[in-house]
Amino acid sequence: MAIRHPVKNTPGKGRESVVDGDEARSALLPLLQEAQARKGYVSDKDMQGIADKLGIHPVEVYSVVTFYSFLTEKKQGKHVIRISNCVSNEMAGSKRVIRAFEKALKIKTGEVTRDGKIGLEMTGCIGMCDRAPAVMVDDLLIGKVTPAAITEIVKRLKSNRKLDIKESEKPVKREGPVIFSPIEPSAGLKKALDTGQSGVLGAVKDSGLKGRGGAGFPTGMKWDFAAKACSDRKFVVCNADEGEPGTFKDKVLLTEYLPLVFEGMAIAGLAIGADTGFLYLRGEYRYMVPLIKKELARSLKRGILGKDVLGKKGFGFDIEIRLGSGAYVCGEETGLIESLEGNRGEPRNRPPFPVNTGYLGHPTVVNNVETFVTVTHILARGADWFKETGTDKSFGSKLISVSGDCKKPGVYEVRFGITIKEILRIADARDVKAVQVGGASGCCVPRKHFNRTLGYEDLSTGGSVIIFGQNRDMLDVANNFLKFFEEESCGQCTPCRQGIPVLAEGVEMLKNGECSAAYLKELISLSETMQVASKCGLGQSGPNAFVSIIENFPRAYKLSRKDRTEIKFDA
Amino acid sequence: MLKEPFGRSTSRAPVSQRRQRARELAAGVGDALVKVVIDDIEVEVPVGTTILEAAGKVNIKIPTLCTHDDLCLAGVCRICVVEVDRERTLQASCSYPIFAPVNVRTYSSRVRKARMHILQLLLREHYGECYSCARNNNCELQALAKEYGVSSYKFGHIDKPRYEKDTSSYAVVRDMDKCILCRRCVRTCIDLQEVGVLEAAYRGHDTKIVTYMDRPLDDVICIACGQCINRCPTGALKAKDPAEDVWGVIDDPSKHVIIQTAPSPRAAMGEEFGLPPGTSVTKKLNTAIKRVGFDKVFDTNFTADLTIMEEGTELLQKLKRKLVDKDQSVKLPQFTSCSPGWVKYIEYFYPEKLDYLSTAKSPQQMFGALVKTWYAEKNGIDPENIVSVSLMPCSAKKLECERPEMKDSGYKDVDYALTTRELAGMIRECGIDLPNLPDSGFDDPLGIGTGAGLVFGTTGGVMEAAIRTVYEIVTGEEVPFEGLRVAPVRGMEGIRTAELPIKKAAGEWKFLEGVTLKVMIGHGTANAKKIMEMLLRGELDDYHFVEIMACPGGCLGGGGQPIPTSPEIREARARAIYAEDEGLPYRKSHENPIVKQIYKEFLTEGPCGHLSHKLLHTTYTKRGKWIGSGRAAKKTGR
Repeated sequence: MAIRHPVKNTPGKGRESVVDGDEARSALLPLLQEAQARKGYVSDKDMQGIADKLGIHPVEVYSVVTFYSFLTEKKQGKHVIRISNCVSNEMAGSKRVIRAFEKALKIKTGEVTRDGKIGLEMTGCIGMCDRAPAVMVDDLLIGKVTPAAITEIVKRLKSNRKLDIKESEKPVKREGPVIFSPIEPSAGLKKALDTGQSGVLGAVKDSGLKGRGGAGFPTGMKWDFAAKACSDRKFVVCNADEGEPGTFKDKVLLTEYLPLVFEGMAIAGLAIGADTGFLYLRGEYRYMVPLIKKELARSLKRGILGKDVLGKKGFGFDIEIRLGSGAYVCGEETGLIESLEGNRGEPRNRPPFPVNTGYLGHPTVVNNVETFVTVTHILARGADWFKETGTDKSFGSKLISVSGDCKKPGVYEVRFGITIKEILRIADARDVKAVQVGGASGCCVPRKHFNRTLGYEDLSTGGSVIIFGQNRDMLDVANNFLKFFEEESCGQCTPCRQGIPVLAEGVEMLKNGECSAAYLKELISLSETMQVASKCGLGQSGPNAFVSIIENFPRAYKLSRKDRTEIKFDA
Repeated sequence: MLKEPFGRSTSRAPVSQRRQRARELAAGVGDALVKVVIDDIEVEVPVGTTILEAAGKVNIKIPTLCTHDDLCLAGVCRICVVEVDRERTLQASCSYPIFAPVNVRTYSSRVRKARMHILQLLLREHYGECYSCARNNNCELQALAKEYGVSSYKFGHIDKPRYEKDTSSYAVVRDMDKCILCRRCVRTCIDLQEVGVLEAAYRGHDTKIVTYMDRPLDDVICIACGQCINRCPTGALKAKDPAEDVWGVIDDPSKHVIIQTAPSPRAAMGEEFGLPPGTSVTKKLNTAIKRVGFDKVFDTNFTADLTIMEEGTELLQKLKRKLVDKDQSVKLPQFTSCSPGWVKYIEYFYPEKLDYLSTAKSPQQMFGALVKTWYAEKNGIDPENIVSVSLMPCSAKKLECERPEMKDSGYKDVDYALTTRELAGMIRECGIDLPNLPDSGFDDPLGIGTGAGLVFGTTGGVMEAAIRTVYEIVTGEEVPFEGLRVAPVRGMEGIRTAELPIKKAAGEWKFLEGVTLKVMIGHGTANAKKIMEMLLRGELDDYHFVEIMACPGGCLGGGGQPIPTSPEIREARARAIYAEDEGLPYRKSHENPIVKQIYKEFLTEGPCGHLSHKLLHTTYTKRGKWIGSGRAAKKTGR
């Protein structure tokens, strides 16, 4: 799948020319994705050619290519099989799947078959935890991979046949108090246009809506800041870089509720005074691009997007799709903006915040997919209706993605205030040892705390709920998360880049019974530093899982009586 | 308060990291002051000032590693974190702009603990022994380890190197095992100098600083300016030190070892011996050099003067061809060619514009060529046995003397180029106490230089020297500036222009009467780039002479100068150079008696004559910026 030049890609606007400077550079990622798709890698010639075209240095292009997992400077196989090794997949037997593929292809992970046809790689969470074990073959996501499916995949790839393996998937009937509640098409947007900018800002503020990505910043306040910021251009960004291990709820919204996402973005555009929105889609969801484009075209036709939205003179709004390339940190809003600008997805210093200095230095609001959908509902039904659901401190509902040791994994809409116990009942999980709420960056809740509730006042989450049965080794879980962060840290700031490997080494020591109580205390202390001194949310939450597992599951490890031999200098 | 980064308008730093963005933001608030309380001390600062800058105002020292006065913000090392009362997490003080009153704590227990952890994490993978490091005792990481009382490797320490040292370049050595990923070199190379050789690659724990495709440094478009070396907080980057070889020839009685010393090391060498920046040590340095064991110490200012004669004549001849003979093939303005980093830059990035470059060799190379010809002949020494060493502020000079075209006498013009830092090392090795040495002068006959040659050491200096001479040659009168101070070309602005009307001209130069000489000065290759873009757009058509130095501040800010560097340090060095100029007996290149003598007895056809062309002028190579093409170029002094 080749994404064309992002500026040319704009539906409705017909902007054809590349502009100078920063905006030109923002074409870098799409150009590299195109080159990667064309040849299976980005060649030396491509890198220097693209650098020349955009007026940047080849080393900058190389730097970007090496940052993203889906871009490679070395030749890959014609087809790439990526096996998810996130914790839900590991529990479902991803190691077995890896071995089976290695055997079938006669290569090791990280290698390419001799004929250059098939490459085998590991990857993080691909948003298929409810159908683990899952693999990504080129653009296609395949879940519930069985030995028979592996044989079939390999056979078809080898004989150049089309891969249309699809699991029989019953359409799920979705019900819920807010997000999955019935709504008239464009009702939210219509209401927004009627009440105008101040009306929208008022409604969103009144609703007390907080960001659904996990950080929970009040959406109304964010939009208000951006609305007040002075600039000739402003941007709305939909963060569809759903990458938190164990999260796949945005996938549902993007495939089943896309018009509501567009509406929500247009409402945000109206609220802050922006006429352009970006849908930043994670690279793993590349297969959705044709569907999203189709829906974009339909929305243009229906007048939800384009010039004079729903016939309202003077308010136009367009949406461009931008694709990520396999970097979890781009889910951090400033990392995402850097990625949009064609840079490594390295989070920025804040302040100044994106609402003042965002994309290309212009005021930008970045919101989660779910936030936009919720906003659409709030506009359609009113803030008071919205506030009926949830708790005093967390209004409304939350989508959760449930996976792991349970009978009914999947996406559920739940009211804030729901207990872990209730969630386990919904998912039909028994004999549970622990629940990881919030993915790799969240915390691990032991059985005795299962009456804790979802909500900004207690367990704040982007939606990932991973269930661990009694037989799971919690050190393996900690190790899996730390390895994930070791891979996904952007690498710019010291505490995160250097700290995570130290913690991972600590887990290894714990497993081998080599870690003393004193050293463990030192590691917890280091974790505290990482939580407050790292540059961005990723680094700050990197040690969360480690700390909560160490604190809550002391029986998972044995401490060594001997102190680690410290390398002391001569005193 | 917010300093403009050096080559700012073409800066490619991520938008958020450019200081001017914060400035713009602050501009919305006007020039309002905001109150900050730092460790219970109150201070008022302009809106947009960073916490680090505000703390500096009240003499509170916050440790830093990634921040640098010349560079845009990074906020990556996190050593400068502080408590800000309304923030949940610690904030990097270097990149936290103050927009509203805040209360800051710079050494709470949480902060002290975090700093210790960060130091420990950096030290864990910082491989290499301090005592064998070029930056021993001048290393920011080492200094912090001392300040914070590091007594053990709390989180372990790697026991073997992870990277191979890159010693491929003639000038710059990269030892990535010592790199702490502060990215000053990246910001220097991409943002300050706009050469674009170094960037961070990969991510997470695999992050490392690389060249394009991780090629050796001599295989990419490095111009060897060495600005990255000057800003590296550790010993990860250093210049290639030829001191061992130089000791070898000094100890060899059959060798006649001479050294020429460039103007700007004199204004900076003192810093290596604890003197404040801006202390001129010219005559003490001569004594030290003789004590180290060099046979003769000569003055590069002499060939700087000669450069003015050659380059000035070249310019006048071009002007004549253009204005009198109406020769449209003459390329004007003429660009200076003294800075080897700049020469490399134009060869890589604007190869089609090499015709604009003066063909005159740099003073270092002219000197080398004359030592092995005129000097050898005059003193009856076999040039085979002369070892020609230079003391330079510059890392690119090492590369320049390796260029294959630089041996017109049949011998290598210059055998070894020592940087200020490297010669300081040799002096220290001898136990010589430079600040307390008696004075001594330069040796004859190549030891007389003028003040005009001396000001070559600072940006605008070549232009000033040229104006002092050319104006006088053309008009027969001294330049119309008090005390010969050509003020319009002085200063530290990135790009400066000046106009000099020629009201009356005499004799051969009558055609210049009524012409207004237009000149431009740029320093730092980011500014060179801007100037070249102006040239491409045709905006320099009415200019006559352009001076470009690769390094910020000119040679005095060169990649071989003492570390650290900052705008203040460079300004102090410039002041020292201008002050020394005022006290010299000769201050115009054409008045240099040795210059007169050499044109009388050796280069008898005068400036730009046959012999001059053979020995003192050179050729350039159209290299282009494509990396990897025709890399046989390796041995052509890349």
